[in-house]
Amino acid sequence: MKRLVGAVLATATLTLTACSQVSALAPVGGNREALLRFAGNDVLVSHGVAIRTAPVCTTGQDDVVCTGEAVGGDPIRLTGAAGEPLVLVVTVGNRTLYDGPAQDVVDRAARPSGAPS
Amino acid sequence: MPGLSRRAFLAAVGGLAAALQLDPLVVGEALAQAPAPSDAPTTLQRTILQGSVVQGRYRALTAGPGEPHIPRIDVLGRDPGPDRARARRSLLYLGHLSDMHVIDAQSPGRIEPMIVQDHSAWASAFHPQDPLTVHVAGAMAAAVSAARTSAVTGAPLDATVVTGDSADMHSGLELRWYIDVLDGVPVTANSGSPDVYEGLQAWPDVTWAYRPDDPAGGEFGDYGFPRLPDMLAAAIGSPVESPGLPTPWYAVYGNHDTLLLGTFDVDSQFRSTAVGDRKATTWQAVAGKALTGYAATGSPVQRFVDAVDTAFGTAPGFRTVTADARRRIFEQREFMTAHFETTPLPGPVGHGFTQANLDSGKTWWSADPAPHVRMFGLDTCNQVAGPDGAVPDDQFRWLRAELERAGAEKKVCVVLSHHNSLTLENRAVRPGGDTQTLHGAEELVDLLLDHPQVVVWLNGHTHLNQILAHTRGTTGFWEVTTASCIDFPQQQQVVELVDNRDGTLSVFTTVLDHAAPVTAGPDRGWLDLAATSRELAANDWIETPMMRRGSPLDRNTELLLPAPFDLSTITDAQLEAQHATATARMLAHDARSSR
Repeated sequence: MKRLVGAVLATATLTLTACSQVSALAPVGGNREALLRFAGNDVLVSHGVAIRTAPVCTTGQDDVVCTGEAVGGDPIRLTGAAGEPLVLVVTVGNRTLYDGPAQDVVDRAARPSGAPS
Repeated sequence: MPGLSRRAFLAAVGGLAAALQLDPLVVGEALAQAPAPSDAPTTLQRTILQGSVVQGRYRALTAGPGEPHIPRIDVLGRDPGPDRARARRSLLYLGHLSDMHVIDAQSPGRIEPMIVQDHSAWASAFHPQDPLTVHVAGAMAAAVSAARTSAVTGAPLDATVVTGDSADMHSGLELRWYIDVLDGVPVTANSGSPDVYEGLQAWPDVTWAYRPDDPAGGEFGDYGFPRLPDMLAAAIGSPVESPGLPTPWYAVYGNHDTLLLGTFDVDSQFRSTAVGDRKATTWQAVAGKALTGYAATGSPVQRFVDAVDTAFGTAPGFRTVTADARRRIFEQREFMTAHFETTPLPGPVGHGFTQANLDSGKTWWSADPAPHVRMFGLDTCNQVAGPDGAVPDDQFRWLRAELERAGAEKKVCVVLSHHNSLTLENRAVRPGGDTQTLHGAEELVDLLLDHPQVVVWLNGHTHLNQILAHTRGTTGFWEVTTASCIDFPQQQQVVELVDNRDGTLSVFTTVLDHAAPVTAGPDRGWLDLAATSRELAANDWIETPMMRRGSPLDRNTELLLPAPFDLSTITDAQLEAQHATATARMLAHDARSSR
């Protein structure tokens, strides 16, 4: 029992003293911004969009927004709103190229074309 | 612009043959061949994709089509010249490795059970493929060696850089294994007992881990991870016969080479645990004992009781293993000194670090991997806590002065660091400790943009393929982040700086899969084990593996930018001499390897 209390106390202290470090341990690089950017770029490339400036992302409190420019001047916009799963909307000028889960794009790109999901 | 004259060619052949103890006829024959783009295996020819479901949610891997280089003009800001491919010449062809995370999986100096406390937060503490990291490192060295001739220009590989996180848990043995693998020294990935695997993945009661003998009972088994009953014995049973890198190689610090798990300071109890004979199997044991230095700081009496418990095997949550002094946790400076314990060739001894580094304690360096290119190896790691980094002011000021000098000397500049521009905001300082300013990403990017001779910044840390453009007006540079050897896709890259002879420069990035087959064969040779590692990593769901491939804009690319100065001042003859040296160096490497 004494050992158990000790372990619990130790764990509680670990959790409290190192919480900022523990949160920083989360899988490196695996964040919403990266997912949105990669999925958005996948959509742009698969649609043959000629890119002048690839989307540059900023993460707000809840949303991720990435903006770029196509050759010819059309603005490129990737947006991901708060919530799970992360829903990606890709627009080039007035055209919406994709509106759906970002992870679906990444998974499709990682599988042979025509493979079942 | 003329290349080498006949007389200069013969002089080069004679000089290189003598310097490298090679047959002049062999050198002459190799150098006389016109450079031709290589079709050696890279992701230009073949990619590795998710295959069909094998069991549960577990998927195999399968071969996919190659991916051509995609031109990117974010920095150049205009259409590139259509004829540039006809005129181009190579200024530097470089291998780029990062985040090798070589692991001694049997060591008590690990904290794997923390994933039970929070798998997502502590994911890097345990991967199902942890016993196979030496095998992957060897397979990656083989891939770099295979890609020794450029697929773009036919130029020979000039050098290789390693941008940190080479040893996963600050173990001297992990550090030695990584250096030996890159040097081409055979490594048996075993410690402790000479013939029995003594680690969590072999113990039936550790159901939270992936146990290849019998995965049932935990979340890895539920996911569908396969039964591979001979994997652990094979992992430690025979040496990894890495061919080594055929070029000089250079290294920088990563956060795992600086802090424990890249995040925490190392205390004396953990140092003792690492070389001891008690390995924690529960997260309570880790939190209560191994991590006491930054968890509970109990009374001296309690600490004594704990130490007795651990010493006599009465503490719960531990199992006895064979102690091994080679698992000693290394001091920060020892990361540098270990790089001097290396084969003299391909060198350089120190791998970027010099005697001046050892004397001063400065952990950053510059080197010229080719006559017209200068590299700056930074140490962006925080010395106190946290995985992310920053640039200390003394190093920042050094870099500024060195960049100005490089500009005056007409050097094309390559910057190397572990952290990338999205992970350079860690300004943690020790109370009462060093008070110098820590510069973040914005300041570093501004500094690099002040110096147009900087064309590319190579880094890692986030275990994914990512390429970002940094621009100011009509100039800028490219930031290239490579994936890791531990997480899927287990890819690294080769990078080539190419003069297009039209006032533009291209940085070609080509992603490399390691040299293991797509699917492991039945023999369980070391390359088959590397293949197993990649497949396990592709199914390690907690690491969001597919996302780490990046997009096509982050993999095989041609990154265009304005030439930093008039590159015609570099003559063809100078470049031919550079390529002759690199070619002869690789001939010497092959001759050494065959002995």
